[in-house]
Amino acid sequence: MKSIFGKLVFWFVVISVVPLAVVAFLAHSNAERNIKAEIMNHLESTADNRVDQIQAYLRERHRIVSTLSRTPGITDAIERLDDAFTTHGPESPQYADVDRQVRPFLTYIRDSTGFRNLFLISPKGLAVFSVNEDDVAGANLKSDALRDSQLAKVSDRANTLLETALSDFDEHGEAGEPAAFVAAPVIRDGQVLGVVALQMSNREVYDMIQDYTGLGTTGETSIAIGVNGEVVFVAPLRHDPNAAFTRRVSIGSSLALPMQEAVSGRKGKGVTTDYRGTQILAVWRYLPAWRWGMVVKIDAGEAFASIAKLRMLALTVGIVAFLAVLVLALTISKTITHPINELITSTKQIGGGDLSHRAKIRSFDEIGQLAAAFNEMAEDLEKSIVSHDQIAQAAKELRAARTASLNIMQDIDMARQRAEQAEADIRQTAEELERSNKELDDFAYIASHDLKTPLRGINHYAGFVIEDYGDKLDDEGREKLETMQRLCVQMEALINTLMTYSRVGRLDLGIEPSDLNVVVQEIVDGLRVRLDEFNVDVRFASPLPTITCDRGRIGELFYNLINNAINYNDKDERWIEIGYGPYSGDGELTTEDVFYVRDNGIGIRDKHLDSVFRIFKRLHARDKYGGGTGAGLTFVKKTVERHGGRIWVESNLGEGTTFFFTLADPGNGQGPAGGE
Amino acid sequence: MRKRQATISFLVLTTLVFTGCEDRASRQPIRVGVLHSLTGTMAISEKSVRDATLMAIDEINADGGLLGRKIEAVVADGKSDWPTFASEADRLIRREKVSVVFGCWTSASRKTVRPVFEKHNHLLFYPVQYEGLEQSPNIVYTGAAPNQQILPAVKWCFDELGAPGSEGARKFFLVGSDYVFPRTANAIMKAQIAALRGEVVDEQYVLLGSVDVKDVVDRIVQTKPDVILNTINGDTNIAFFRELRAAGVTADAIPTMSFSIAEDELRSMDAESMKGDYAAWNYFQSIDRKENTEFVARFTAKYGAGRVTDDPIEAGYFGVHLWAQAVRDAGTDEVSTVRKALRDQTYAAPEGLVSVDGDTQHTWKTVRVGKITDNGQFEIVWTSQHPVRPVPFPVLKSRTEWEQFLTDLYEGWGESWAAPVPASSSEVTKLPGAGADPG
Repeated sequence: MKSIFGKLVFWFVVISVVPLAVVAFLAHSNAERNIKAEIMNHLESTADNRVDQIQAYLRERHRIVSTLSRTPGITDAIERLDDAFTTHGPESPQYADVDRQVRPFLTYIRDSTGFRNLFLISPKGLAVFSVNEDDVAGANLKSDALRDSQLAKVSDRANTLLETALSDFDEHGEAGEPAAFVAAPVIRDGQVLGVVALQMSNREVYDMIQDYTGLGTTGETSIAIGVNGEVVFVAPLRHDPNAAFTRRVSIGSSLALPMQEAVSGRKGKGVTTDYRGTQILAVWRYLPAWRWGMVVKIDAGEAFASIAKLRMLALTVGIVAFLAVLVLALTISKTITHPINELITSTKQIGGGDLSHRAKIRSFDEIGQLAAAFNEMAEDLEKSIVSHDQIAQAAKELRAARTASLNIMQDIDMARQRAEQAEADIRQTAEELERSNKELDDFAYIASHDLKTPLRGINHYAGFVIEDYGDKLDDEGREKLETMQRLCVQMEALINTLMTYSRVGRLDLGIEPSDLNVVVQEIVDGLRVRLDEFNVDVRFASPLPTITCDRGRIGELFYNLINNAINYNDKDERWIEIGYGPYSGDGELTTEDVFYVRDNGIGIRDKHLDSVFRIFKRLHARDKYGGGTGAGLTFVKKTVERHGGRIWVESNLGEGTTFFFTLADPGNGQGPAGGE
Repeated sequence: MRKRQATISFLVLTTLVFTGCEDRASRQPIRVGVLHSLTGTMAISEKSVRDATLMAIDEINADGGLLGRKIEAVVADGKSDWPTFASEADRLIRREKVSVVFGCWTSASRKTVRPVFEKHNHLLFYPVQYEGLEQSPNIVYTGAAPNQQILPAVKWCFDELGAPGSEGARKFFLVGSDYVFPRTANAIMKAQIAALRGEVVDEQYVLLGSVDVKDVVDRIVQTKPDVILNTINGDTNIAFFRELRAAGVTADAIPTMSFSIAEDELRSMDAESMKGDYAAWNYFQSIDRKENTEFVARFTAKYGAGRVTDDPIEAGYFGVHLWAQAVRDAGTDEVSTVRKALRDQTYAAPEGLVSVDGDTQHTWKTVRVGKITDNGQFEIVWTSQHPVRPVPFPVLKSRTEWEQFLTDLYEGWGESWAAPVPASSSEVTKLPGAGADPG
């Protein structure tokens, strides 16, 4: 069962044969049960019919005799016969005379009622008349010889119990022929005149019993009586015509089982064993009138013949169906597994190196498709696989290339070492530069801080001189002092700016993620009065990113740039455009997204472009374009650099200026390095 | 695997559900009525029959019931009162919806309930020997018809009793209680004795329940019969035999053949003084049959060693079994189907085979004559070789004549089945209808 072929055949057979077998079994057992039930029903109705028939027959005999016993013909006959018999004796002419007179009538009665014989018996038990002139005629039934005869017993019962009585069905007379009698008392005016007894024809009874209609070739109705622990069959049997009163089976033996039941007064049916020891289907009944057991039966062999035939048929059909299914299964399995086997062979062949081999495509079903796919694969394989020589050549080239690449790598290594050296130098220089910058910042701060105190002193003293000695000085002197004071104030402003500038480089940044749209909008809102004053339109070309930065510094940055844009503009319609996006200017080349602040202001001459970021550098008169110390752009540049970015400016004189700057890649959320 | 288990479980469950449904439908017990006097004068006799009936029901239930169903007995009390019998029968049939009723003892009660059963086309099993002259399609008579008790007994007397050396008894003295059974039985016996050319020296009746038997005994002493044929019922028997013995009449001198004295009655009588007298029945406790030995053993085991079995007890018992057989054959407890199935039933009863006679719905029964022994039992002195066909209407007269005879009795008693107690009588010792013992 390792192969698909085996599995297919097995399951084909199982799937088709098992339901077939189940259905066949059910149908068969059902049919068997039905046939058996039908036979049983038939036997039962036959038995019931037989019982009814016999009982009806007996009832009719009973009624005939009861009626007869009251007919004047009978009462007269018995009275006269008895009288002649007792008075004159059986041989007397008187008796013969009476006999002759009554005989035609009594013979007629016997013949018309279908009895075998008719007896008239006196109350004392004398058989005063018998239609058939047999040995009973004239005999005394109370004599020892006849006392136990059925005729004597039934006559006595009729005589004394005053009822119509039926004798047992027993052997009678010297011939020992089975017979039964019906006797009735002949009563007139409450007096028993005697008994009329009629002998029943056993032929009629036997005919009823030996009716084999519907009982096949083995079926029959058997009749027996239970006597002294024995079952005695009282009628001929189909399989034993001489059975009457000769065939006996003792109760308790293994033969005639249904009859043993029946004579015990039980009714029933079933498959059992008859008097021959043959298995039969039987129905049995008990007839109280003669204490008969009756068995209506049929041999099981005959009854079940149709079942056997059915079984044979079912078996034949089953075998034929099985063989047919087997052949079908083999064929179908083969059509399925043959292409698979071919494919296996092809695979082995290709595996063995014959790349040009192709599988045969026999059908367009799944297996056909598989073969086609297999062929495609083989083709690809053939194409992609190169020859051995080519491989060797390639390997040689590869080796050479490897040697070459090793040399190159050595060179690269050296270059890298040099580059590293250079980088280390640069880093050292940068560090030194930074240190010196910081020292410078520190110096600037300390210097300007220390400078402020004496400067304020000078200013105060100049004021004291004007207050205390103002009246002693002339206007020129006072004017000079005032100038000195003004210069002091101006100088203090410069010093403050310088301190602020150094603080920008010195102090740590407060780094946090900040939405620049919000930051810039706040600045714009803060400048709203001035913007309106100068009629400046602020535009946002694109939304600004959220970056990690020092929110305050960046705000200052935008404040300075926007403030400058407001100030350095002499147009009637002023605008400022703030944006963020890919750099599109014509100056520096950068791939980073850049911030820009553009205006349509006065612009900057090209030669001044580099100096606008210098501290205290003013391109115009002190009080022109809003005044100021000229440190704003210096702060801007410092802030951008502190955030790891760069700033540059592009301008067309008279048309406008654009400040571009970057802030350490805002997209990846990495903020600028913290201050040192 | 789980799927297969699920499938199998499903199948098993389905099967169980189906069988369950079927079971529930057929689990309803078959209800049967048991209608006897449990109070009043008749209770002493009828309770024993009720016991036997219930024992048979218990046996069938212990054996798995009928058609897979249990039998449930609905016991009703006739209270020794005939109208009560009729109303209880009606209740059992209509209210309790029983499938059959086992019950009645006296002919009076039977004749009162008969119209009820005929009206509802129902079924009564009547377990007591009776006077015959009746045949109802709605009653199964499991007691003896006259030809199964009275006629054979009289014939037996003719053959076996009488003065030593004689051919048998010829002079008969008939004595009975004054109600339908003794009157009818005596009518039958008189006809038989006449037909057999015997002589009825006198015929006397005592009021039901009366103890005034002196006149009767005097007449017996006077007439010197060969045999006394006794159809006295109830307590009158005690007085009768006491008086008889007091008058010096022994069983040896003038034997009595009684038709209403069984083992149960002997318990309340002086068995010693009864010894040697005779009774005719179909059943005696002393029958030597395997079925009877077991029956007596079961009865005494169930109801006490002091209890005895007798003819009506046995008839009440096998009636249930006959009915059960018919129900099995019919495959239903539906009344008319069961009645049809009853027609060919035979049962191996304690007395022997009993078969329902399809024509009369009486039973084929074996007839026996027993001689009273000093332990209150009977020694069986004669038995009919075989079960005897029931003949409810003795052929001595036509059925029409018999029915006229009954009508005359009934009307003569002022539409009653027992002689009315004279209003002036100072000897009224029992309630009306009381003491109407067997028949």
